[in-house]
Amino acid sequence: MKCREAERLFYEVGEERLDPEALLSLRAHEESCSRCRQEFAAWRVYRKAFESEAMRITPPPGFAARVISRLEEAAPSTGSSRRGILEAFRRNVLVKGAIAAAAALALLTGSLAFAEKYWFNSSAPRIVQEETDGRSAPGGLREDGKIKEIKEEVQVSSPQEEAAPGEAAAEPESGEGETETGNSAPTPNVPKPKPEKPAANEDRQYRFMDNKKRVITTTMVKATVADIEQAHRLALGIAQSEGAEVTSTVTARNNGRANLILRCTVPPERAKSLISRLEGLGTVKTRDTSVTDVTNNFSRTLEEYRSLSAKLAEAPEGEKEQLRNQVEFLARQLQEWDEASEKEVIVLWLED
Amino acid sequence: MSKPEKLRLDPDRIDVRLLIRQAQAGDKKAFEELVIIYQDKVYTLSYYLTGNHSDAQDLAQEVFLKAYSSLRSFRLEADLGTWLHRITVNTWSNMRRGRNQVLSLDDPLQTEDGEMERPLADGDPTSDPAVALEEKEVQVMVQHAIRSLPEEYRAALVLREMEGYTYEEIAGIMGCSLGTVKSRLNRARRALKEKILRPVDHCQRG
Repeated sequence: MKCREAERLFYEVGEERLDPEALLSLRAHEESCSRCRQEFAAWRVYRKAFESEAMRITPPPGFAARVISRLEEAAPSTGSSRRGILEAFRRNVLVKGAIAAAAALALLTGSLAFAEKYWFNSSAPRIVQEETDGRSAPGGLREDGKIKEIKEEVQVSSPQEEAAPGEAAAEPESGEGETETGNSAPTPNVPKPKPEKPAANEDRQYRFMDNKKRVITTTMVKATVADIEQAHRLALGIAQSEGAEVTSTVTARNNGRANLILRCTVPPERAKSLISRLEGLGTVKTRDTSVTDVTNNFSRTLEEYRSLSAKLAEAPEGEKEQLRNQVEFLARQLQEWDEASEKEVIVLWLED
Repeated sequence: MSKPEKLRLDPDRIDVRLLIRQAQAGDKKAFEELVIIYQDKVYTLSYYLTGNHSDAQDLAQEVFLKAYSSLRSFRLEADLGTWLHRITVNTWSNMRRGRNQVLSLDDPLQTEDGEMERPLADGDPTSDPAVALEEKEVQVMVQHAIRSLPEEYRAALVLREMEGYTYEEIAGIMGCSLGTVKSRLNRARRALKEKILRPVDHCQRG
């Protein structure tokens, strides 16, 4: 079988519609062709995402009732409602576009480990092995357990005002970090205060350097521990003593076993010590370090930030609130990149 | 963020034809039931076409209003879901044509602020937190990558990979040739991969 025919069967017909003979032929081709094998393996991961319930978007409650209400109140012609829709598009499309770009960049960059796993190292044998392991696979994820509880804390640093070029990306001023992180909190999952919004008539200006390289180093450590709550408390204490900032915590329960994923940032010179001490909490199963260059992403987002800031300055009062929120969001994204690139990111995954 | 409670009605287990006939006769209650049955399908496509909930709601409402006004011409032997998807694509195309072209097709679309929450925040039930993290991340990656695709790619990809239509059915829904569908899907897949790969282009493993 040629690659073109394999692609036709895989994409156009679809594996689920292939008869057994064609399916065998496709599998045989994959065995012999590493390019198709890798491509199909990657696309199966995407396909699984496409088919997941999470990808289906649900309308808000009362949607059907609103449709009927509009039917009853509207004239047969829908011309006026269309005009309303078009006006809404004109109002929203430009300013939201910038947010979308930043959102995508942030999320995609945050998914480095996953992308690496499936794109840079994907091959059929590896995928099959992972499938057997129940971790992930093109054929389906393990369904034998339920997460009973997932919580998360997300902390966003407050942007600094009136910083000199380059300084907005630096660490918070003395004292601010302690207040924000709450690293010393003895119990997990305590919501952290969100940064205050500026007053309605206050438009902050942040300054970012766009001519420097930004590289984010992330180390993921997975370890088993005897007592996850105790390990969590110890991890928070270690993080605090190493000058790390805990940015998010996820807890979950799987088949009666507690799991916890903790993300923090730490000055590079303290990263090695922090990792070593965190690894001492239990038995390390895996450790993986990756490096991502976000320089281009930062520059693009910074352009959008500046563009929106300019619009905000000239916008009528009625539009300022929405613009201000978007500008603040971009500023936070830029700050997160800045901070992560000046520190190292450590992700600790504990299970008991 | 709590998700709205889903009202799930399976078209296979409900006499959709009866509802259609009643709605064709002007029964708005029957039509409301049809809306409830098909709202997820229409809204999902609307969302991926528009890229945000506000416009998706407008588009989906418009689709059902048009569907109601044209329901008398609907043939009962056809599939109502496919018909509604065709209306969705047509309505979206008309709306895009009718307004000033502020964005190019390659520009990213808007998103809601709430979607920037961390992937694990809503806790999908799965067996392993790492799997949950990865599964959620790839869903988020794909969602955002889809919304950054040109609209004709976006529609073809959603109709194929999420709704499971054949290439021929997609051609009918989008009003284009089979060759065009093939071409768009090939390009959409390439673009999707590229958009997910791009942020890690310079990655090195330590």
